[in-house]
Amino acid sequence: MNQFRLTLPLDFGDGTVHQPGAIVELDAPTAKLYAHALIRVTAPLPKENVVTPGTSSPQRKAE
Amino acid sequence: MAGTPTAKNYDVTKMHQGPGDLWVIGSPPADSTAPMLTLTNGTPDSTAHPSSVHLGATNGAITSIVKPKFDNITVDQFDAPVAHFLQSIEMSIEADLEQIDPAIMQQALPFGVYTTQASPGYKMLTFGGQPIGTPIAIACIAALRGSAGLYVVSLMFAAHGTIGLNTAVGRAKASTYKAQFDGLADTTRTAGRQVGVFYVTQ
Repeated sequence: MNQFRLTLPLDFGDGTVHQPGAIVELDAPTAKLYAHALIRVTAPLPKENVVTPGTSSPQRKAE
Repeated sequence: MAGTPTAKNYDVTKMHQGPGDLWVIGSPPADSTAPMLTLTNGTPDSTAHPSSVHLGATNGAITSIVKPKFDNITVDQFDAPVAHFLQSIEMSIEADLEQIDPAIMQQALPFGVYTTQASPGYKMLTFGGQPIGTPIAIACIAALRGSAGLYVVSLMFAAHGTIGLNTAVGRAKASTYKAQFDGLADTTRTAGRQVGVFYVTQ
């Protein structure tokens, strides 16, 4: 799994629109499918600041 | 009395002809006196500019436009303007793109949401209810005619695709869609090079 920053809005099939600028954690096959709108994060963020598509977002956890 | 002639600037090697490629630049060059791309074989270097995206084949030329809007200063005492001032400047890059691929098309449609699935396979753009995405850097890179390793480049540091989607399918000709990217001022950059750059390597 690697972290990526979105450059364009994406829906990873989880029914959630992930906004540009969001940091997501993706496996390699998924990252390849959306490569046109992802920039790999060279200095990974703590897990609590990262969204893994298909799971609760950090904001939702906070709620 | 014989004077000294002034040289003319005829130079056939400076006359460009040939296709270019349109790129989204993943990481634009830093603000410097020469904010130029690092190119490898005429493409954005994947280390210097990671996550750059090629926008595929184009139908016809790629057009780079820098459009100033001048206003006049007129005074009652003279019938012609006595000065000009630059009210605004607009930079854009536009082309007719050939490849009907939502992953490419989304770059020109920054309010579209992209989703894909491997099996059963599809790539999809959906519209409505989404704010415009973050600006992207756009470049047209063309190999200079007859000069290996030299390039004509126009680059905007921050731009959006602004004209949406208008494409037709039909028997008579291949489908295309027009993409136009309009530049913004990157206010973090030095005045004089906040919107873009046009250069020729030599």
